[in-house]
Amino acid sequence: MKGFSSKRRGVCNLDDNQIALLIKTNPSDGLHEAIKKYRGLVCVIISKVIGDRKQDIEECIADTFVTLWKSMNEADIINLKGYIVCIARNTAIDRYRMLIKKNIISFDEIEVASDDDIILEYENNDNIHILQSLILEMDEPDREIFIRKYFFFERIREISNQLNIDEILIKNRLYRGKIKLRKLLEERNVTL
Amino acid sequence: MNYNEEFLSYINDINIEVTSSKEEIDSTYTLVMKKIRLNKKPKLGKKGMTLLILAAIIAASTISVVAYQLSIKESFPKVFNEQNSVGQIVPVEEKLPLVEQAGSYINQTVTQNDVKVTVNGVVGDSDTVYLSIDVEDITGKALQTEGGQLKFNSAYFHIDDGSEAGFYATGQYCWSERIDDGSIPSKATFLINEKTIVEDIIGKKATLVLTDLEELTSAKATDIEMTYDNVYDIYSQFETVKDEDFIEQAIPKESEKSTVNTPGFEHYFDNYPRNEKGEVIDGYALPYTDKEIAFSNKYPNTYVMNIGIKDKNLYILVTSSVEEEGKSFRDLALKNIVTGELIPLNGSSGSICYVDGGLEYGFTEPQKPNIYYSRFYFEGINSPEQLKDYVIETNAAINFQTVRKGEWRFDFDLSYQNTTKTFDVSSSCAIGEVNPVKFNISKIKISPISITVMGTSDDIIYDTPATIKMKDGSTVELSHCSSDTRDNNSSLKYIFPVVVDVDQVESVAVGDAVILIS
Repeated sequence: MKGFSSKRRGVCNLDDNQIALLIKTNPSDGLHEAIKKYRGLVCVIISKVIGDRKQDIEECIADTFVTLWKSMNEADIINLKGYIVCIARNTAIDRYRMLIKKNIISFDEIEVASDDDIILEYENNDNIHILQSLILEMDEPDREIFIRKYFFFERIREISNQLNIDEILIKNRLYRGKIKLRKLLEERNVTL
Repeated sequence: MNYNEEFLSYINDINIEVTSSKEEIDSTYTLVMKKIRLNKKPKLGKKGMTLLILAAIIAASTISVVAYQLSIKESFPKVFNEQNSVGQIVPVEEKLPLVEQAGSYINQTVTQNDVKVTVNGVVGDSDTVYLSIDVEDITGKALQTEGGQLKFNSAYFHIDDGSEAGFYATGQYCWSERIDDGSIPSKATFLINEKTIVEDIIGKKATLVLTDLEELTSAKATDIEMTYDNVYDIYSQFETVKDEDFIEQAIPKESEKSTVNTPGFEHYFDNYPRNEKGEVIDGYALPYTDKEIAFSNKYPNTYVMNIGIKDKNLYILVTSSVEEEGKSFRDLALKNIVTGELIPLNGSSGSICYVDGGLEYGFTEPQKPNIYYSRFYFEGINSPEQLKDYVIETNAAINFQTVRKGEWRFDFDLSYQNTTKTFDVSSSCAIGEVNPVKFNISKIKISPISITVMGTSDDIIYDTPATIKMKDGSTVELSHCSSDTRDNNSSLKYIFPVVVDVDQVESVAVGDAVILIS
């Protein structure tokens, strides 16, 4: 079967479909495989949202995989990595909002939701699918820049290094992309 | 989840290379397993591969069902407590296994009108259930509009005991209590905790029907422009009122007589405490003080004279030098400035003190003439520190309004370990102080979460407090009682305020009887 390795006993590199199936049939092993593969990515996303609050980060990482486990029986997960990323992001944002509400952190402490975060702005709206579709319609590299910045909360410098594009160019593309996106949302009568 | 598959697929392809150390992976795995209470099985080997392949074949055509252990701390946050060695009530830890063995995982989900309701699990015994229920708006919208108390309009719980009577004739309506901290606007967790009217429920099929989410609103709540940031800042101006300093509010004998002489009310005051004169005590009042603390710009002639906490009730004594202003300072509510939740007024009384004094019910001493006195009390305040989160509002028209219409129905088995122990006893006691009823006790059923005292009586028995005595001399006071009498068969059912180790129970005191448990 694709992805199985018999080179080392007991060690297998499972693909996402196999991991998803394993979580359903053998949750403890399935979750271990999922954590092994995606903990790093989940940690990066969560850290960008809630800063260096170690305990909150650990809780959010664990909550992400618990939510994944709970979701497995409700629907077939086709894009496991994307799904995990979404759960991680939402978990982190929920925690961030809770920390803000309880005055444990202030808006200045962590660079997450700035005034121009258009995805967070529209995210709880009924028209989230329209927002997603419009983002998918963007040309590259604008689309990837947009998602890395507003979805993965990467810094400009990180995006620049990843995509090998000048920082100033990235800022420009983000600025124009936001204006265009907002205009398209208004044309479709998408309001906050 | 709100993301379409194309969007997820795109995210799938975005490359972010990050790795975790083995220690980090193991640490996260341990925490996840702890949260969902699964035991780690051996790593996948050859046999595991074969099983995986087989599982893949089976999963293709069937839905695999795996029994998971319920995570008590996650599904029932802060619900279960225990009494420690110094008599303090603390979150359950040492006695957690007693609760875990009485629980089982249900994990049933129904989604309607964008509201996903999940029954997580049950903790129970032969006639008690705790149900944990998660609610979530799948679009991410806040469940509430105003931030007030949230509950289901109705929670109907039915157990199939083979009765041929109709579905709605043999179940019970329950109260749904919110138990999460409200920090995530689109989510909430509720607790249903009931003594069941059906007995010996383990192994039986149950149905839970939840309808309409509604929130408590204060449609006309008025900001009184408090000059303090919160109620605690007012409270801290006064000396702490000790329990024994509260004034007992007694019902005059004549009033009691006229009530008990009314058909159907003969036993109305049976279980009320009485003072030395034999008068019924139906409440408490704060003593008067020399202080008058101004606290509101909207009510400049109204002052707090005293404030105190007793038996989880907050009492406030207020004076107004202008009668009209005093009379208008009504319909109070405590508003939580963090969550917006309201604690409605539980009781109030007000009276002007006239020049010639006179004894007013609740105002047992003449005070300054032409001063309007008001008393207020609220339930649900456990400590002064809690008051740091609250302000006072007035003219709060408290009512519930529907925020999400829907009906969510769940059918599940009550499959958990039977932790109830039954003891045959022979004892009797008198229930009630006026016209006491003899209760012949023949059986006691006790589990880590509840006790039922069963027997016969010639007349209806009413709720009566009881006390559990442990072998180490400590006691657990029981006041949450439901009584039942049918055809001379009577029972008193109590849900414990703390988890109890049944093997360490020495006796139970009910009425004037002390029954040894052995």
